[in-house]
Amino acid sequence: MAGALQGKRILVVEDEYFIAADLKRALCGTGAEVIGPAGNLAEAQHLAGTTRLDAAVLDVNLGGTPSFSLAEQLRSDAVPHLFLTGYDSWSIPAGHRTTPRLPKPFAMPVVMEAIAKLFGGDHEPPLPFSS
Amino acid sequence: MTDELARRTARLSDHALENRMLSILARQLAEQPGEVLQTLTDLLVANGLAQSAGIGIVMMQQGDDLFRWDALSGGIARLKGVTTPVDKGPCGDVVRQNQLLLLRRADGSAQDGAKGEMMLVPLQIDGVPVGMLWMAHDRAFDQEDARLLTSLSVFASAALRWRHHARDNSVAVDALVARGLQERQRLLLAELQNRVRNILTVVRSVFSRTVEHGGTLEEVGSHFRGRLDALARTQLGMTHSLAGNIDLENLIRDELVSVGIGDGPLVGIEGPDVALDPNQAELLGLAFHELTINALKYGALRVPGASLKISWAVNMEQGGGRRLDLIWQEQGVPAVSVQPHHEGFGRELIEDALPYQLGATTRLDIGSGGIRCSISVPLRSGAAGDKE
Repeated sequence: MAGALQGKRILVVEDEYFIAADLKRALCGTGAEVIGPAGNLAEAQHLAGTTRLDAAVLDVNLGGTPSFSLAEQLRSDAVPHLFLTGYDSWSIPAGHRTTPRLPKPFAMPVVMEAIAKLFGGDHEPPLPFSS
Repeated sequence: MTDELARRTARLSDHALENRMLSILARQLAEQPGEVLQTLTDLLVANGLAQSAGIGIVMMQQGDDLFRWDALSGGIARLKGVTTPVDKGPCGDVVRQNQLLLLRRADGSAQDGAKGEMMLVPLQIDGVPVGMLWMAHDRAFDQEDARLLTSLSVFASAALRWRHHARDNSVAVDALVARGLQERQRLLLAELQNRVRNILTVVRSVFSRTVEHGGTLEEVGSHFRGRLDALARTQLGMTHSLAGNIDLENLIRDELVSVGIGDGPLVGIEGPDVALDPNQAELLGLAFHELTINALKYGALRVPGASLKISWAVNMEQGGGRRLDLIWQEQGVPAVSVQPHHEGFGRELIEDALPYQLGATTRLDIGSGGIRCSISVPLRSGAAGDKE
């Protein structure tokens, strides 16, 4: 994945400061440009609506508000994205179950790799951890 | 528009009419319970309370939920017995939300062409919605209608319960009740799982930061244990109240007690009762921990003659919300500045994490006399980072 994220504009949406800050730092370390992080849905929607994005990382639960509406917005804008979540697959609405999903707690290199795979071409089947 | 009910003047109760209807339904429940549902909707229409009325029972068919219209009165009566998907429309909403709804039918799109308003109540068995009762009229409904419809719905629920006990398989009550309980448990479990996995992710992150800020293995271990204990105390405190709220003063006192500091002339704690939500308590608890440890190692809790004052007030914001304004102030600590090597974590927590996650405004100064930290947090906005 070396260089895969270089210069990519990645939106980070996560309400827990420590997780958001870790994601930002790890992404910056790969050469990506971080948009956000946004800790609530309104701010994230604003960023998604006004900024050019290459990909996005979304926490599913933003202070009690689900981020699925944002995921739909990203999908219609053809922005690849993945979920970070403490929820099991059965808690994810059917329309979003094929979206790549990383369970919390996670190791940062795994997240970086998963984001890099978002750019790996649309022909690939869903990532193993999304099943 | 259900809220609108509260603003409408309720007409006087017609007790004579209500008694008449209730006694007819009561007799029928005893003699011909299978007819109660149709009698109920007929009574609503015959007495002019509704122009049309109906009762739908939820059925499960190959994974899809359907309403079967077991009772219909008024212009729509010919549709009795047909099924419609639960997913669509207000009838599904009343079952999903499990509460009374009032709707305007201005578009005349209803199958009986009716305009005016529609009032719907869920029918429940053991608190689980298994069907719904609705009535429609071109007049405006009021709270008296809501009271009456709710009162009558008890008979409809009783009739369904009877059909259930009579092993009438046309009512999928067992399955629905089981599913309802399961659903509630599932949601609770999902929330708990999410919370646990989230806090584990935070702990992981706090650990990495603690290691990064360096020190001997022993020092790192001690810092991390302290932070973990602070998180654990907050978790424990949450289980003590139903809503998961935590009292601010308890949060501060618990932190001080954990390092052996009780009430004394040198420690002042003063402020009104403030209930913090779990999100606020978690981060503020961690912040108080960092401030306490700092005071213990370098500041007011170590230097003889120094003192610590923690005070707060709740003030109104311009937008009408409430805001907690807290000041943590050390006095009498000589200005010799030992740069605490773990300061990075506490400073990041106070200057970055509190603003990001709680919408707080903070300021941390280390000056002559000791540390002065001000934290201003919007209350009531439970949502994380909700700055609006």
